[in-house]
Amino acid sequence: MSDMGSPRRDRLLRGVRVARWATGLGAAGLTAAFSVAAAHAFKGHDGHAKAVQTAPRRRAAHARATVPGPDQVPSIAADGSLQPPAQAPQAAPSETQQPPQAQQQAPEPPVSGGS
Amino acid sequence: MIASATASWAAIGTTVSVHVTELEALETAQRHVQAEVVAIDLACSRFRADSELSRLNARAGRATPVGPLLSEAIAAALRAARLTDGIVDPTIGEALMLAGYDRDFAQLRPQAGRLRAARVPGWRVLRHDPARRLVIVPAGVQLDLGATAKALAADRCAAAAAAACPGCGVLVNLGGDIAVAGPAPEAGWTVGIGDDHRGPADQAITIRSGGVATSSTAVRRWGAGRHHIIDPRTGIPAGACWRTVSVAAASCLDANTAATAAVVLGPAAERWLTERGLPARLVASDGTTVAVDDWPQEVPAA
Repeated sequence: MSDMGSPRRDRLLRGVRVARWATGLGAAGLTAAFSVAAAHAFKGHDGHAKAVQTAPRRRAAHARATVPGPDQVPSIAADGSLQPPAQAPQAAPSETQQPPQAQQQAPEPPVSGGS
Repeated sequence: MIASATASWAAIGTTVSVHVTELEALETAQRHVQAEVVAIDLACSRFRADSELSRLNARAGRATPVGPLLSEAIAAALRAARLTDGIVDPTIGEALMLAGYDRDFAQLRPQAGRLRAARVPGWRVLRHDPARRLVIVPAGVQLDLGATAKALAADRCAAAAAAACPGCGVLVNLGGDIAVAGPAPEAGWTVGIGDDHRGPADQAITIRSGGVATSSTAVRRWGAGRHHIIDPRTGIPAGACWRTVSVAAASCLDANTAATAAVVLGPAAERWLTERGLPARLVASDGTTVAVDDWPQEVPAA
């Protein structure tokens, strides 16, 4: 380490302080300049506009709506059971049991099966 | 005679047919059925980005107004869930997607590997006000109305067509979900029963009112153990106890609700159906059949 005289060290320290002040002032100035530029970059912005009082924040729609759960819906809850047919299905007569005329006219019956 | 006139066409990823007892009523009946099918697809499809259901799922967490048809379909799904103690549950959307059913079935490719289970939140998390037609699907929940909407549509189609053609009997078949309305033919409506609605039928029965529906794991599969009937208790496709279950009920909606519940319930299904007096035909995975309640016995092949 080199030996440094006191006057010279004091001068250097003052120089560093001045440089720090200058840097700080420059940064503040630039920040202000950019802020002004940004504020005027948006159409409709009025630098003198009064602060608008914002409406109280609304709660989410689903929290506000009073929509009943499925257990509470009368048209569903009152319908008590799956209903059997009014008349039980019957075995269809086999083709040989049908008269010949019906066999000729009968198209293929619709099929209930998976889809 | 089975029916005087029939028309069929492809829609909603399956085959639609309408059968009438009066030839001159066919065109009117078909027009009404087509309109109902288009409406139910726009309201309830999970695979159409522009459907009401897709928009409702996308707005999960918020109160959302819905149209009358989607509101009715949601009410029907919630009723099915309640009457089956949550075995048929509309909140399985996420589980279906994790199982691989994340797009229209025609676009699915065979998949393999380990199944991923999703926790099914359960129907009680939904909020539905039918009077105001408001629905809240909680955040993170995806609704799927596949177990009930098509059957509801079959009932609506048959009722609409019969109302438009007074004195005419109507049968509507939406991909195996069958509903009838109006006066039945003298010998009743003949309906085939099988694994696949495209046939062939393994048994033929006659019905005079209500509906018949079949749930099957033999179709709409995309890999081993991968099918569209989710067990809400496990979050994965239901086990392999029953391959196909057909049920007759006072409506196609009730028939399909019971058929789907039976597939999920597995060994407990026979008793569950008997307690409710629902005639049913259950086909085990090995092909053996069981007739429940008043379901007609099958005549052995000669």
